[in-house]
Amino acid sequence: MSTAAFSPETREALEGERRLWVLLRALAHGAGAWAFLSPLAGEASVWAGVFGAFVGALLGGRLARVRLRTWSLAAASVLALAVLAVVRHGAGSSLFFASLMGPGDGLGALEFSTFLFGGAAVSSTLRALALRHRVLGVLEVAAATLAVAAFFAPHRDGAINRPFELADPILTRGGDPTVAILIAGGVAVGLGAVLFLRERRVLRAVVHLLVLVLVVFGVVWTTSTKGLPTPPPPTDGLGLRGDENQGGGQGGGGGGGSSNGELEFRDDYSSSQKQVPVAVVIFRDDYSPPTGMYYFRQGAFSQYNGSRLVAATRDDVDRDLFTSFPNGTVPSLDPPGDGGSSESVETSVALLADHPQPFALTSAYEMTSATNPDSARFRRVYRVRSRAIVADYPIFLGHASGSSAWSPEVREHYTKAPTDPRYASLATEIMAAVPEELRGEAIVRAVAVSEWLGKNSKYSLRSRHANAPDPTADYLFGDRVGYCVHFAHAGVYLMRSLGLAARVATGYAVEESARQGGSTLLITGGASHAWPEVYLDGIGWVVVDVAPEESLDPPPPPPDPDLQRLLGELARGDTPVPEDGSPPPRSFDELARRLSSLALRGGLIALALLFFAAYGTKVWRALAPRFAKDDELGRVLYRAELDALSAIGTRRLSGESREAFADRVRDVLPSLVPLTNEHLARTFGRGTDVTKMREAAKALRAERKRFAKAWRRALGVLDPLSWIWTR
Amino acid sequence: MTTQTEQSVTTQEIEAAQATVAKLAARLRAAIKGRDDVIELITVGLLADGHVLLEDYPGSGKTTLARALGESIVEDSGTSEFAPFRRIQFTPDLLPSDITGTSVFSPETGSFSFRPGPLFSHIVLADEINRTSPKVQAALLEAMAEKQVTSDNATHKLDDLFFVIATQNPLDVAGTYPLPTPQLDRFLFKIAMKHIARDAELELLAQYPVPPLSNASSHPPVTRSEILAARRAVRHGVLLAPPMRQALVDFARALRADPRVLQGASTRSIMLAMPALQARALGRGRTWTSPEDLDALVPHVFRHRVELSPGVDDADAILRECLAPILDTLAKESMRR
Repeated sequence: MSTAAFSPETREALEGERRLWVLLRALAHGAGAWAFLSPLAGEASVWAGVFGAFVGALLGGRLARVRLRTWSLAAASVLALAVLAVVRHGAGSSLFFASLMGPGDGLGALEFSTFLFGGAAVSSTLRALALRHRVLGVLEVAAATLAVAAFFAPHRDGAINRPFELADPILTRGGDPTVAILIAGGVAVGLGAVLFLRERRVLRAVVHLLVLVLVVFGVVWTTSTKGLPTPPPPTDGLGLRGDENQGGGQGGGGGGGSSNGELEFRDDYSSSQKQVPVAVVIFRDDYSPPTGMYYFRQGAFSQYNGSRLVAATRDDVDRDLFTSFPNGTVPSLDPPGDGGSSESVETSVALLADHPQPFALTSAYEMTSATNPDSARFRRVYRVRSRAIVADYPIFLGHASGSSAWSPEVREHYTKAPTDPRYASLATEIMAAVPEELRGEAIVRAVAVSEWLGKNSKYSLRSRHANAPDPTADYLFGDRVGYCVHFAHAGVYLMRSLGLAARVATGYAVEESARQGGSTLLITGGASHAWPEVYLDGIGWVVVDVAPEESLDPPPPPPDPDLQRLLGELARGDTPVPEDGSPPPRSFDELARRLSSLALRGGLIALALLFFAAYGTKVWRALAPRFAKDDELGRVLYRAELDALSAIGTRRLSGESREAFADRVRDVLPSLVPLTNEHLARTFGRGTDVTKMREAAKALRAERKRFAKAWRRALGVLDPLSWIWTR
Repeated sequence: MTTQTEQSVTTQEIEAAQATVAKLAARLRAAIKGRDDVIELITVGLLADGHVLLEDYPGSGKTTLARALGESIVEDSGTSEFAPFRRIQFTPDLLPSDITGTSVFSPETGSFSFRPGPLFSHIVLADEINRTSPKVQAALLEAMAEKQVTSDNATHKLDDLFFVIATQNPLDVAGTYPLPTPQLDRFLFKIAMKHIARDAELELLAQYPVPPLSNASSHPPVTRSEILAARRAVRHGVLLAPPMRQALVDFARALRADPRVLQGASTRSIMLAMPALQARALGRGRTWTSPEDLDALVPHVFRHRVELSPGVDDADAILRECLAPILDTLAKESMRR
């Protein structure tokens, strides 16, 4: 196809393409496609996409020669992709392929062909655009960068084991994949810099450098690069992590911000970064909770101050909580009773984010400090012994609410409810549905309240109660749309209206299924929770959580099982073992040490060898004229003299003839002119006159001494590489 | 692989040719101040049997130069058929016969006889060649290429020495007939003359009121046969080594491949370049051509032969860019075993 219709620059790009570069570019396209697609699809489809991108990049040159304006070319490609999407959608929803080759293979074949043609279309278009206009080459580079960045992006937000191919071998050797990924990024930036700066025009190189700096800045700015997950911003409203209240009235959502020791009601409960891990819990004893949920209690709100529940100001209540991290073994001041309904469960907690006070599986009676196996990764590690409830609620029948040991003030503290009569009347209404013979049972009353709340509430992190004077009443007697803080408060108020000793507890609640059969439980920021609990005599605080039957929000995704397993192993202080049972490999540090010492020694030896080789060559080239035969002298002597000139920094320029060089330095080194003439006569004339040449060389040596200062000559002698710059 | 017949030229002949060039150059330098570079190119053109196009402003000494050259060569063949120097001022109304000559009826003999035009001379100054009509240009160019003129179906041979110095004004182009590339191709050199240096200009003024050309008469002239012998010595006595010939071809190919060049160097142009390189080498006292000759002559030989893409105008820069790698190759060549 003729290229005459294009601008000279485009023509140059089209015709000047070297085959090797075309091939390398196509390979780069294929690699980019692999990086982008490999997390998305099955292996066959990924390779189809890679092949498509490879062939597409090869065809890009042909596409660029098509007589279409560049924008029509781009539009045609977008159209082609749209058609592909429509066809894929249509074929995917029709039953034709499914009936032809079965649903699995049908979908696979569709995906295969989509990636094949999609990869080809995208690659050929990018290539063609880049060939048409150099500016549009930015698109090609950006696509490749995005593909690679997307490949590494899952590494963010604590998923330190992505991509598996890179991270696993490093992690099993006890290393930190972050370092490897940073090195990969550094190498990529370095390569990019070299490629971008390989430019004849300085201005363009500078522009490229600026673009590169912007890209790097953008990537660094949008990616958290250091180590493990930074803890999510303290927006959970539950005060589980210490920095909660330091922001001072963040936003207007929480009724003027939260003050110390109270729960915040929010209208829009941000769910960003909810998947960020905050802690790892290892179960030393197997335990399956009857409710299907693990509750980790951290704090409690039991004091009603006339408008809401706040942390207790008395020091003779909520004494079962651990208010500080243990140093040695610390028992609970108000240990839970056994009552035949619980068993002792030991857990280890490794905190990934700072917490002001420890949390523990309900209900803890003893806490022990533990050594941190990886202080770079874990903030704090402690062990907890809990009396975990193993039976369902009926076992609590017969236990009264509140402890017989309580003083009247304490009982008053736990039963003080809002004066709003609607709570009491609603509580009475709820109790009316309970069989009469059970109405006296504390646990039945509490469960009745929470079940009623569960039946009649809708769960949503977006609600509109925060600005009401009593958000709980606004929720309970309003649309009953809310989240755990609303449910917990409403539950406690209703229970207290029924005379039960109740409080709101905060902490984390995780479904048992999240363990996924392992002994490790990963707690993410999204698991923070508040729930009502009642005090039963002889048992202690029992969780009576509200489980809303209807949720307006989509359920959160399950935690990453690999990350959970990995962090668990790290928290145990074990070296993760390869899954296939092969012996654990040599530790990463040792490997790195050996490699670096090997590289250092090899590098030094290579450097020394190079140094000696350079000096050897220099000396040999300087001495060669003494041993050269006459027919070689014209060359060897001239080379020796050029070396000597190069050592004092006088060299021929690129594109300058030897005579022009000699003429240039004629004023200071006049003998170079006859020397050059004799030298050239060897190749272009009728042979060198050896005597003349020797005379000229001798004269030149004297001139050189006059011309160059002593230190310059000394430097020239010392420089092992001076001969390399000789032209 | 050398195809030159070196043996036919003796050292004495070479030395004589070098002496001729030196004499001629000395005489011209005495007549023209501050134009040593142009004088060298003109003598190279003369010895290489090419023609020269001067691109220049009025009053820069073109005519003086051409007249000095014409007066430096004396006739020694005994015939007075050819004048040493003729100047033709080209105008739009000029006819081909005005320069070639025409047949005149002679009443005594009752027949037509050919009266030679101004082209029948050793040195012809074709002033403002782009001001005349294409047919006159064509007649001149035929004369330049074939060394003969055709009039009334009769062909008349011109002098062997016949050497044309044409001029044109680079700026004043209104109402001109610019020479097309194939016609420009017939000129060996296109020399862009620059204004002379301050010292040379002062020296020129200091000579006043002595007319410039009278300085030249103190130097001995050269004879027509000396020039012709020197031409022969150049062609047969100066070595053009295989790497130099390769360099010429490689340069022409590089020029043709350059995307900024629509039409590169013709094969004729590199053929013409060979004697020019030899002539320059001889003038510089060498019996072999060197890369430096190529470096010096390439701009003048090829400047007017390349046709550039629209929007590109710096032919010299392109020539330099294409030549640089060739010169590097030649420099490496000289280091080869």
